[in-house]
Amino acid sequence: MNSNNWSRRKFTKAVISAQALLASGVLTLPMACAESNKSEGDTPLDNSQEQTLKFAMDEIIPANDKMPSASKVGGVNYILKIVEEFPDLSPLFISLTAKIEGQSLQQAGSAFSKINSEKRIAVLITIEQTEPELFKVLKDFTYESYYTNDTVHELISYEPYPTGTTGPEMEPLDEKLLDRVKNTPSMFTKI
Amino acid sequence: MNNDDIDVLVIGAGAAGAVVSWSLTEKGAKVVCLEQGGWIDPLSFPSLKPDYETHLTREGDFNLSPNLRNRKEDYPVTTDGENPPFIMMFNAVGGSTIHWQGIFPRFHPSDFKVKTLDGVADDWPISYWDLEPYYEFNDKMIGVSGLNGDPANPPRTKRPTPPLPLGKMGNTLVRGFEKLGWHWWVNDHGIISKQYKDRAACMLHGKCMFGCPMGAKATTDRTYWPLAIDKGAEIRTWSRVKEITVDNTGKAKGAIYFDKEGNIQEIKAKVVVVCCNGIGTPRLLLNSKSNLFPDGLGNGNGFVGKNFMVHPTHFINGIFEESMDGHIGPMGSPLFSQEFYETDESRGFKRGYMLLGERTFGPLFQAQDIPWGKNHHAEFGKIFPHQVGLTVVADDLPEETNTVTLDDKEVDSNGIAAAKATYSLSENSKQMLHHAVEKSTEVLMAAGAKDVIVPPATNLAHLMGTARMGTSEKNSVVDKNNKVHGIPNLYVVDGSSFTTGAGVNPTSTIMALALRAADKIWENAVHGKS
Repeated sequence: MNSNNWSRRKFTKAVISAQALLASGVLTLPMACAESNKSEGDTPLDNSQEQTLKFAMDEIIPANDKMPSASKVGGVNYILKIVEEFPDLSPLFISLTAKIEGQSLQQAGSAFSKINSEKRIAVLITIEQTEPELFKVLKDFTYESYYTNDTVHELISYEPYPTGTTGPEMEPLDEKLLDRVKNTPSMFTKI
Repeated sequence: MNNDDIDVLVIGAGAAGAVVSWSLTEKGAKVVCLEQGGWIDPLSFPSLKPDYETHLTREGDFNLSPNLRNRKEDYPVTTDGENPPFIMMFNAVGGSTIHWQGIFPRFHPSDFKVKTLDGVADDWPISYWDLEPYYEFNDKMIGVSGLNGDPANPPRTKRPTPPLPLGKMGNTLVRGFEKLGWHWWVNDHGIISKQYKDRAACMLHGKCMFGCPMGAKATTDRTYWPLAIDKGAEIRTWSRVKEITVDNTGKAKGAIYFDKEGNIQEIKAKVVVVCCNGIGTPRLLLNSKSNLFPDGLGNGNGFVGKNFMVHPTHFINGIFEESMDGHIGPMGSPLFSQEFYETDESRGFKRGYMLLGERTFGPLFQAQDIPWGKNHHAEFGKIFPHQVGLTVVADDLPEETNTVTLDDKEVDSNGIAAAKATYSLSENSKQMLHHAVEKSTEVLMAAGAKDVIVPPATNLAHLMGTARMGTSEKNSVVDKNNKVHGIPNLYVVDGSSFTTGAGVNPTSTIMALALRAADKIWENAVHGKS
């Protein structure tokens, strides 16, 4: 993000081109976690771990009659992309899925993907209570994957207006609204 | 610029450093500024991306806190006390104006005289009227948007650009203020609503804290710095100052700094001006120890780092039945109220606070406190997009026990001791916040809210007071001209020189103070000595 080698001249050039591009409203930039070129073999979690993650994310944000579940809008893939981008996070997610599976075996006697929703929720509540920091990783990244998703934005009628697109239309201030206040005596202490 | 020719060394290229560098260069001084960060590529701003909110919710290179950015040019700030603040700052050309919201209120005249008026803290050695011409000048330099005529503030000239729109949430708040007959007014912003000079008008995207590539927001890399550089000022980026050096008579000699490659460099100047913010400035002064100044520069009375002020804050949200579109429009504040700004002893506390109508972030941020599980969507649907926010900014009176010191364990990427900020709310502030919650709830309900959410109070961490200006050498670090006591050619110009914090955002006062200090430096230390 920061420009180690940037000079004032280069900065000025970039400012001019940025203003031109943005004013035109045609510039679009990819999201931080856009499509990567990695092959399937490079996936940081194995299929079983991905399944665990999928079922867990879908208990964090389940589907209802209007909204999709977290995994339905690419939640697992979102996390995989993040782990690809920041490999240091890989052990965290491996540890998270291991904890979920371990707790599932201990609490319900079966794999997390094989138990019913009620038991999965119970497993996650236990982890939330006993390992809140680890649980927070699951919750925060699930929320992040969900609420940065275009489909979800559309469903909740959220237009993000990223800078570089045409901004929202807003009415200018109606100064008449201030008529009462304008006629108030001055309120500040004179000193 | 040749190192032997430098009149003024400015340390820090943020709001104050840019203003001081421009003003002194404009007058004819040879100015070099050392900045530990670099120029920010405007096309790299998160505001350009739909996932911009991730920079609020997790570590990232545009997080508001240096502790969560962890970039090479950042330095850690550890925290302590009963109410440790959330530290916000940015280290780059432009400083914290890069991620600032652009809210641009002024102090009131009473804010400079709280000892005289209310018997608390100390008076500033200057008055509002000493700063007033500099406020005006700065407003025109950066193209402030707003509307003159506010009865809660002294008169000011027609704002260079018209006010930003209120939007639906703003109009809803107006309904509440009008119903109660309370004061409200549209905010001055360091965001231009019309093209101004070479900067394009705000397009209302509302991602101001995540970088404004348009240049509508008055970040100093887009306002003062181009002018200063055109006039001959030199800015050395990726240059982190280790210590300010002194000669054997006790005058400031220059600075020792790490360059981009981590090599030690020395620079000399006739005058040194420290503009590193309310944490960076005391940190540098305390790290500048010598035989003559064993406790750090300007710290003969032990006041460097004391009286740290941050602005106690509450973010209070009204939940409305109808959609409020609170996330649409320039982030920050379309309007404010100073109904409870001046002291009224019957309220049980001294001084007062401002209420800022606050736009909301997007859905990711608003979902943070929504429970997970089967009720998630229903609970989310209750608050989004139905929130209208009010932010309380409380006057923070100085307390000697609130401090910035050197951390005895943490260091930055050059091995320089990190800062430690210790903060606890005073009883006066607690009473003030309690009152503000009641009044915020009242106005939100009057506006039609069906529910009001009051999270725990927080601290905005506006960084102020740690090298304060005073009427006496015994209880302050700098004099009325921002000169450090006992060192004739060392100046501190930033929020650290505030004697009191007032109940408003500080940047317009930092910049006005910097313009005034530059005049005094020119008169007393550069031109006057040449």
